[in-house]
Amino acid sequence: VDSQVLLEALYIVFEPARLLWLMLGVGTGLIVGILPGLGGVVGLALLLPFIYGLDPYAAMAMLIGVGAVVSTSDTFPSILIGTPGSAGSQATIMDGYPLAQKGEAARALSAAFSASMVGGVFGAIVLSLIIPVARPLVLAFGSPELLMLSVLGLTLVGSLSGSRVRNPVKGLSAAAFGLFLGTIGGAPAVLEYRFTFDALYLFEGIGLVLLSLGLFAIPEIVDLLCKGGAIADKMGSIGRGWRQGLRDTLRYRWLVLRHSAIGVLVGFTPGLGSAIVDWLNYGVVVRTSKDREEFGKGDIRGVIAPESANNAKDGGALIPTLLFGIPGSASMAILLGAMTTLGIEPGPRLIQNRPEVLYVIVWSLAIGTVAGTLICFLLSRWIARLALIPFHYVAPFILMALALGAYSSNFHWADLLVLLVFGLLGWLMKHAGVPRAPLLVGFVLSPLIERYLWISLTRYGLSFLLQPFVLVIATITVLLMVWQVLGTFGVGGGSKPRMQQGEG
Amino acid sequence: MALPVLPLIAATLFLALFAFAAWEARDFHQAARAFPMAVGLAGIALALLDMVLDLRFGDGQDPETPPFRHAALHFGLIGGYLLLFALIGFPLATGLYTFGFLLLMTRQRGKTEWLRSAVLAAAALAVSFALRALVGGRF
Repeated sequence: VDSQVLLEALYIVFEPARLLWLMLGVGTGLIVGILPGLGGVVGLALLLPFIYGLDPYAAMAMLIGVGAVVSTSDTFPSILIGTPGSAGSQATIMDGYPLAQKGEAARALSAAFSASMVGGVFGAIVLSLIIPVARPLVLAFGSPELLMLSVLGLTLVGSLSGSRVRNPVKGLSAAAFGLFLGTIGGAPAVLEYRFTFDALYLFEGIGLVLLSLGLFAIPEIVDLLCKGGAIADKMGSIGRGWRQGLRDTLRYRWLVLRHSAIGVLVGFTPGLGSAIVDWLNYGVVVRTSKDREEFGKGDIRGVIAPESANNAKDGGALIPTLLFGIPGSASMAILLGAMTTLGIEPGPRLIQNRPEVLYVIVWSLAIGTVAGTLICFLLSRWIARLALIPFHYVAPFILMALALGAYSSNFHWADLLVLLVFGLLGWLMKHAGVPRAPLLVGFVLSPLIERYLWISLTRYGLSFLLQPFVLVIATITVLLMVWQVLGTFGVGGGSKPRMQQGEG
Repeated sequence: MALPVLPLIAATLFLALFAFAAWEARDFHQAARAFPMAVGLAGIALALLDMVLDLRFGDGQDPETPPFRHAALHFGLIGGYLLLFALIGFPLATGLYTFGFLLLMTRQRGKTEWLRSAVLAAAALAVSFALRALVGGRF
């Protein structure tokens, strides 16, 4: 690790105004994590409009702050009311809720928070260690390799993204649709405007803010309102056991580290989102434990393992996003889009020209995780009550922020219309079992892929496809697609395709 | 076996849009054509495959899908708010929407809460003025 850049980045983050923005992100993350149904993507989308005009470090700190804490605060509803705060805390219910019913909610929360903190910091450390190691490899990549890596990343996100119906064709369709939406507006290679219907509004393309708010926030709001009433009518007492929870985390420290490492690995793999990391780690801890009888009835290890992993995954997910410009999830796509908006181009140029940005992100992740955990510890009794507020009292305020955020994209009435249209599309996709993350990732990658393609073709012609790295990545991509499609058609496993229940 | 209506609607919508993309791309300059054309054609193939899979193996409706009537009502309310925003401006639209929305929601639950709705609407109005000032515009 380049210690001078690391210290410079720390100095940048500790500038009071930037710390304040980071804390604003942490606060937003806390709230969206606690309100069941919303999540990190909605939190990021809500704050995205406010980055315009901010200094890039402050903006990045704020956005990272949201992601750093959602995986911690979403534990409240999982443990206290048995409803996941976000997709990443579903497995925590399995043992967290039974513990709360036994009067040990404080113990479960304490263990979850401390394991989350260790996981988050572990992820940040891995990220900081990977940067100098990966630097020569990243710098060796040219446009052809980056093109193929982008295609591979998109294929992974498309085919692995979770949805109600596990059908990779739906995810790939969504990814292709995102690529198409990304072509609206000016072409990168020549002066030509595409799919604009001669409307000036579309000349600069569709805004990432509008797309992310519409696709992710509006459908969740509508569904929560349709459910009606409070998320839970009553909540058990938090009880005692805060110290016991901390002791549990210390006692199972190797478990925490093992699952943090798994979390980083899963986060690194594009397409494997929060829900998968949570269930995967729960499954691993159950299978690898000798005494399994208490799992599902209130075993603290069933809380510690998924919680340490789902915080650590953020560090892992940032690796492909920052080093190669390939976002592996919807939140990473928003982050990548935000960086582009701020004039920061992730990938080789970032490592080469502005390495301090990478370490600002590392520090923000670590500080945000620690600050979020401390807030959760200190204010848990009050924060937990947020989950009991009937959603219809909260909805107008969230909608207000959405509308303002959407309108401030272009200050044009059409922004509001586009928001509603994407809201409808997002709702349709959600209930049709079409994952929305690949669409957003495809949208963000579209201009990059087209640019890499154009540069590769003009520089090397079609012979760029024969370069060694390109061949390797292309082979992996093709094999992956064939494997997924064969799996869908049930080849080797019966006649019915694998369209089973996903993680919701 | 129930027809998977929403998945089929989504696949048809995608198919139509991919077909449009591929068709429109024909007239673009060569350097601007390749990418949308490739995406459009690949998208058509994927959407068709998706439709076939849905028709053959689809398992009806997502059990978590709320009743269409409820979803339509809330989309209508959101649409109404956005329309009000465009017509009378952000703060007033927010205040009016919050008041009307809360009255409707509380009445649906059997007890109309006039006072609480008014207080929250006033709060929303104040917050919206503050946010507008923060963003720095008059809308």
